[in-house]
Amino acid sequence: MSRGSGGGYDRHITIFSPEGRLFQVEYAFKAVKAAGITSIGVRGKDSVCVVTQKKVPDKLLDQTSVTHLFPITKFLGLLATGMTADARTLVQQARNEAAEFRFRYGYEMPVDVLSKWIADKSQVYTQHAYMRPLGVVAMVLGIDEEKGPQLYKCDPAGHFYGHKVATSAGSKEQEAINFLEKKMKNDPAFTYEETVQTAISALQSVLQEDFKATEIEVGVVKADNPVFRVMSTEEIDEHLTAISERD
Amino acid sequence: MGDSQYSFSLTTFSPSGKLVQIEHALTAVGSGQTSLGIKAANGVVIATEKKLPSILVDETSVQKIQCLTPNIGVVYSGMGPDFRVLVRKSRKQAEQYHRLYKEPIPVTQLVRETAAVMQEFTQSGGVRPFGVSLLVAGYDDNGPQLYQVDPSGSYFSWKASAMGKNVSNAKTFLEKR
Repeated sequence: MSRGSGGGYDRHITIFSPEGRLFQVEYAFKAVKAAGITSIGVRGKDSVCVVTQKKVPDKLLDQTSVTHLFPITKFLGLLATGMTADARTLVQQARNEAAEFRFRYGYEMPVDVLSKWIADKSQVYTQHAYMRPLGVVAMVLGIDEEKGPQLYKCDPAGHFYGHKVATSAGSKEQEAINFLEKKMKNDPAFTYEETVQTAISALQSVLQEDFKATEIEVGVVKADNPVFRVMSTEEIDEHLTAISERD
Repeated sequence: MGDSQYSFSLTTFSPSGKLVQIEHALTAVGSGQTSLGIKAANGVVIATEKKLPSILVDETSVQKIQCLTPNIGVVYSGMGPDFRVLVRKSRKQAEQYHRLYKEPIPVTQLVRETAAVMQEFTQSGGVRPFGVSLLVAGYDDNGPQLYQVDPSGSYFSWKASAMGKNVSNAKTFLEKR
């Protein structure tokens, strides 16, 4: 069977288009944006915080089951922006990989190693025709024993980058990145409260709405207690109040 | 390799006898960031542009130039994720050689094996060619060496070479010198 290069097939599977692009990968990015959720991650001096919108499409749904924030190990968290089903697959595989790593090597999987593993898996999907790329951008956070707080972002193309201060993903990604680039002009070193508040207020300003505590999800990890934690609604409320008082 | 559903090659000959997927891969390389290498009398230098997508990115987390063995390094133009796969495979091949022959792998051997992997992906079922060209720089008993490997799997030894964007300007500059 001869499959013409181009002839429309370059849109169905990950083969090169005449301009040297991979359409399936580009469409995967569009799928991430189409989910309609924006997420922001901020790295401080001794903590990392990620924040995402929590849109519950139906009032009858159990709100606690709608989540994009997943603990991978006790110390590593993953925020998945995009298609929820793809996110769950990724999380399942990441949890397995992190546990095997701990068993095999005797120490916890570091943030950058997990991010690289996720990115390498995503690359395989961009090169092999039998699996499509996942429509998820993953933000991995944790405290590294040697390097301190770490925030990494992995995308469907297989790229992964560490972020010095902040990053964003989802439908308003570019606006958020513009906003955050201005904030980091003077290379700030945020405390824990500043980290959380920067993340939440960035999301509020980019989406131009004030949130209630039930409309966002916040995950944090602090150097003095490097366990990944999803914040309770009460805690989120405290931070929201602090932000509105500050303004 | 891949599912049995895809046990036919995606890279097939066009009526004019060209492998169009490889040409598209080369286009992808040509739109990547520039890299180049120069072989000197007593060493080799490789360099690349490192433009990050945003100032928020931590530049220490990105390494475009990688070591394959203590005396062989590699840089790429094109798709970063594909490059990581090749680096991993090459490092493993270098180690396997060392385990078998108890000596460091010569540059030509490593280049040949890496090129064979890249060729495999242009012929096997259900996969696409790599969207990277590599510049492999090494120093072994044959002195300093510089090789360029293309997505097709063909490789050449160069005195100086460039790849990626603006490659014609770079090559003109190198030729003059």
